[in-house]
Parts: sequence; C-alpha cells; structure tokens
Amino acid sequence: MQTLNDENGRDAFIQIDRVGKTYSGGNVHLEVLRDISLSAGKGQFVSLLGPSGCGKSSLLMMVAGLEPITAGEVHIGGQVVSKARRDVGVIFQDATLLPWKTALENVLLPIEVFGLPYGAYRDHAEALLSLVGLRQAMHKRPRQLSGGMKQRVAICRALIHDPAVLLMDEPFSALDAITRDDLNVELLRIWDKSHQTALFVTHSIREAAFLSDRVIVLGDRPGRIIADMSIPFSRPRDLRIGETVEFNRLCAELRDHVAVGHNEAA
Amino acid sequence: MKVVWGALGTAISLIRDAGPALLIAGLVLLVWELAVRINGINPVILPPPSAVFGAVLAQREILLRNAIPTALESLAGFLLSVVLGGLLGILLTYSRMARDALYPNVVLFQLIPKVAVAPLFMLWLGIDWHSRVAIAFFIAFFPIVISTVSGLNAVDDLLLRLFKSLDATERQIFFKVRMPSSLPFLFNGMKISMTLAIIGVIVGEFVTSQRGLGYIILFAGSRLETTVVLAAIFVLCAVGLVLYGLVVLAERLIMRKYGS
Repeated sequence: MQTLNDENGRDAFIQIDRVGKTYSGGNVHLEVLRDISLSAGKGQFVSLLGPSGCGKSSLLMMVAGLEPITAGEVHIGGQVVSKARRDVGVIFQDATLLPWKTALENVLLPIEVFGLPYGAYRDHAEALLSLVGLRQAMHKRPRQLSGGMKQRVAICRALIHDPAVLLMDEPFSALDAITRDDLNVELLRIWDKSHQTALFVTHSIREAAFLSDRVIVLGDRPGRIIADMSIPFSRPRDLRIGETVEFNRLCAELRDHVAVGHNEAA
Repeated sequence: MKVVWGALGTAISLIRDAGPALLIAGLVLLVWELAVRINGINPVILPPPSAVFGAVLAQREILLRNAIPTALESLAGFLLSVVLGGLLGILLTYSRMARDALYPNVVLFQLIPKVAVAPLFMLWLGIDWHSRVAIAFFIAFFPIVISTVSGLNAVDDLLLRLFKSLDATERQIFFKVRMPSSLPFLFNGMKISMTLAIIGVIVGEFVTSQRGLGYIILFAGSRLETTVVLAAIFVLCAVGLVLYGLVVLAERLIMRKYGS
C-alpha cells in the first residue's frame, strides 16, 4: 500500500483514511464522524482536541479496534485494523483495574493474557511502577490507591509489553487539576524513554499543547478536522513552558479553532 | 499450613462474631423456660428447654446416628445443585438459544411446589438416599442458577473493554473477569441453597421414613413425644448451622483472594 508522509517527512505509522462513524439503530442514524483523514508519524505524540460529543473518543476506539469502523480504513504499521492489536497499549478514562489484583499484578495483566513468561516481565513492571513513584505501593490493591495512583498503574499496564502505539482516551479527565499536572509530567517522562506513536484524546487545550508534537482540533456534529497545528517546543518539557508567551499564544490559537468548530455546528 | 491457620482464624472470628446472636437466643430460651414453668404448661404441648436439652443428652446416640445421614444427604444435594446449577447458569449466560429455550421452563419448573412431588421421587428412585438427595437437589438448585446468571452478567463493562483491548479470548474473559466478579452473587445463592437442601432432605425423610432427623421428628411426633421432637429439631438446627457455616467459611477464604 501507499505510505503517506507526515509534515516532518517521517513515515506515517498510524493512518486514518477517510474514516466515518455512524451509529444506526432502527430508523435513527447518528453520524458522529465524517471523512476523517490524518496520519501520525512513528514516534509522534498527537492529540485529538475537541468538545464533548465530537466523536474524538469514538475515533480513538476505532483505532484501538474496539469499535466497528463504518466508513474508511485505519492502518497501523501498514496493516488494516480490524480488531484489537497486541502492539497497542490503551489507557482509558477510568483506570479499570481488577479489584482483586495488586498494582503489580494489574500491570502484568497484559503479559498474563498474552501468555508471555510472567517472571521475565516482573522487573520491567517494577521499574515502570518505580518510574511513577509507586514502588512502595506495588503490593497494594486498587481499593487502597488514590485516583491518581490508579491511573499511574493503568499507564504502566499499557506500557508493560512495549507497544509501538499508545492510545489514550481522556486518561486524566477524572482527576483534580494538581494531580493532572503531575500525571502529564510523568506521562511525558515515561513516554520519552521509548517514544511510542501516541494518540491522546482530550478536551483540555493546555493539556493537549503541553503534551503533543501536533494537536488536531475536531469540530462537532458531525466530527471533522478543523485544524492541525504543530507544537514546536523542545523536549523534555516541564510545566514551566505553560508560563511562556509562546505557549499561551498557541493555546489562544487552539481555543479559536475549537470555538469555530463548535459554533459552526450550532 | 498457611491455609489451615487461615481457616482456624476465620473459624475463631466467626464464633466471636456470633456473641450477640447467642445472647439473644439465650434470652429467648430463658423466657420460654420461665413461661412454661410459671404457667404449668403440659410438657406434651410445650416442654421447657431444659427438658429438651435433657432429651438431647439422653438420646444423643440415636440423634447423632440420624443426624449424620441428614447432614451428608443435605451436603450431597447442595453440592450437586452447585455443580449442575452453576453449569446451567453458565449455559444460560453464554447461549442465547439455551436462554430462550430453557430459561422460561426453568422458572416454570420452579413454580411447582417441590414438596408436593416428593412422593414421586420416592416412586422413581426408591426409599434410599437417592430420592432424598434428588429432592434436596431440586429444591436447592434454582437459587444457584439465578445467582450464577446474575453474577456472570454483573461484570463491569469497562473491564470487559479492557480485556477486548488485550485481544483476550472468551475463555480468558470468563476465568479472569466474569467468574471472579460473580463470586459474591454465587455465595449469596449458595447460602440460600444450603438451607433449602436441608429442607429437601427433611421432606424426603418424612416421605421415605427410613432414617434421619426428619424420620425421628415424624416418629416421635406420632407418639406424642414432644420433647424428643424438639430435641431432634435442636440437633437439626445445629446441623444446619454447621453446614451454613461451611459455606460462610468457604466464602471468607475465597473472598480473601477475590475480594477488593
């Protein structure tokens, strides 16, 4: 198949090709996404930014192979996505940990499901948990962990099998602002180690700008691409870039695009 | 060894938790004793608890000899209902066709007063333990089916989505998510079933009149030996308590691993 290049000339690793999504039930047809085409280069961190209900989560779930694609195709590494793939890690809005397993056992769940040697990944799991400050808590069960700690465990679980792609569906939206900032920093720190190709769904403009190489703004009803902006800050980044004029100018520009996408539909 | 100590610790905590309940039971017995003595009630109508305990001690050999088959047959009927009811529950959960074809019939079957068909079991299976275990099984299995079905369906949808994202097989989803999630429901069903299994065996003993505490109750009742009837009922309560306690013990041990 033909490979497209992104604007930096890198090979596209995730390719979303004229994808649409229509929910049909009886006589009701609800079109949530129309004709979405975008590609993410290998190792690129791309955010999908848009108002609630613009279909950004549906798009991510289609890339994850968890929702049927009603129009177009998604390719990962040149292969058509038809179901969940083992070279993909997903972080959901909810941590969705198994309540009867410890943090460490939850991190190792993908290894257990894939039938890989459990012992061989144990050190890796402990290293990941240490990286997010949970070394002391690795034998605790989810009930004993705070919301932020649970989501940290979910991040480690998504990365335990060294996936090429990391898909995140508003992973921090249920957390308080301070915890959310912490987790943004930790996510970047952990992502900087191996630069998975990442798609991050959010409705927070600042979060999208802070994390991403590129922010795609989606408008609603039906969801479509409004803007595709590069975020030029060098890495590693820390929270202080949020105070720079350049960062705030970018956020203002993104906010304008979001407003346009929202008002056009209304 | 660890399991043994765990079981022992659980048993001790169960007994400790039983303190307030024992106190209430003791008070009721005391009031009963005083009421009978003060009013001079005929012991054929209602003997005092002290006389009942006296009968338990005096008849302990015959009571014990008959308590053992009652307990074992109840346990057998219960275990049979857990295995077959659990399997039917799994079938009803996974097969739409089985659900459509069997579920209404299972409910309809449940509406038959099973005590009423006990004599038929005796005709079909004879007067030995087979018919009593069968009656116990038929009374006890419905709550297991219902609790298995609701337990297997009570799994968190988000956990199912997580497992789908890991490309897990149905078998993995069953053993790693659905079954552990269903355990609290299953244990609720098992507690109800255990008590129902005992009722089933007693009904069977009434009908088959071979042995067991139900037989003692029926036999002593026909001879107006009210004290012996109550002594047998007391032993029956003890049997029920032990069997129910086994289910609670299993629940506590297993939920230590599968609780949150």
